[in-house]
Amino acid sequence: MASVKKRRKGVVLELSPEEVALLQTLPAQLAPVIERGPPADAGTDPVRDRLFPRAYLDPTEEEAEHNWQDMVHSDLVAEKSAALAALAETLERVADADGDAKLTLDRAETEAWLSALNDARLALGVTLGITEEHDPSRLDPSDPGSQPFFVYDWLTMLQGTILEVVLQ
Amino acid sequence: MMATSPAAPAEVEVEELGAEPDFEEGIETDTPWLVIVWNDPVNLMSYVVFVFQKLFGYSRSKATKLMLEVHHDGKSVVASGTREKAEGDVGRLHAHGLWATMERDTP
Repeated sequence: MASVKKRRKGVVLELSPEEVALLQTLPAQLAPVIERGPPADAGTDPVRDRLFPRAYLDPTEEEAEHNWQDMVHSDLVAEKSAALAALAETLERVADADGDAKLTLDRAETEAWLSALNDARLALGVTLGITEEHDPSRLDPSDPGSQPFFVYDWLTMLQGTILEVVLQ
Repeated sequence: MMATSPAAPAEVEVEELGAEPDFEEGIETDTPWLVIVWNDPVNLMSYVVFVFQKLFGYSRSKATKLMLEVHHDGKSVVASGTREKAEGDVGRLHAHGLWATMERDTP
């Protein structure tokens, strides 16, 4: 299980080879989701709707909403893509690790990890239909259908542990 | 929100909340747009606190108070100002994965 510690030089993660391998799959899985355009029919892409929500709920502000999307969407895509790229680049440093990998993240890299892990959890959370009632302890390890829920819970644990260190 | 991490439940500093000034203090009374953050089942309580502190420079206890409002009441007004400021704040919150919207303040 991943360990996370705070050191003067930054946040130090210790990850097993399996954990590194899982994290390495995230950028390639998430990038297309972040970069894709709006669906032809509104409301048919709930993952994209969650990653890029509306700013205005008021239907009479449709023009303002449209202008706002025009103004910020490409910046949001760039920011989320940059976080994924930072995740991929930092993992490159331990790509050749023999056994458990030890990775030190500076402040900017730590924040990029938190953003990328959060976007991964948001996308997975919508896909899996995660609700307030989600209880990791009730998953059945023998059920192959539980696998993506275990991935979600592991990402939650990792993000939560990094946050605990950051908020110290 | 908000899931708590299975291995590491988010810590909240409840005991400090009483000492915190009211949220309304220091906000101009003639600013008509409110920035609202909504509850969702994925964002960790600790992450929401982290984002409020990072984006708005709020103290830990103020960020925690707002996060708990979102958690318990379903939403919280986290900032306010002109339409342009609110649009910027909503964009920054979306960049960090929080579910935020804006609406005109109703007196």
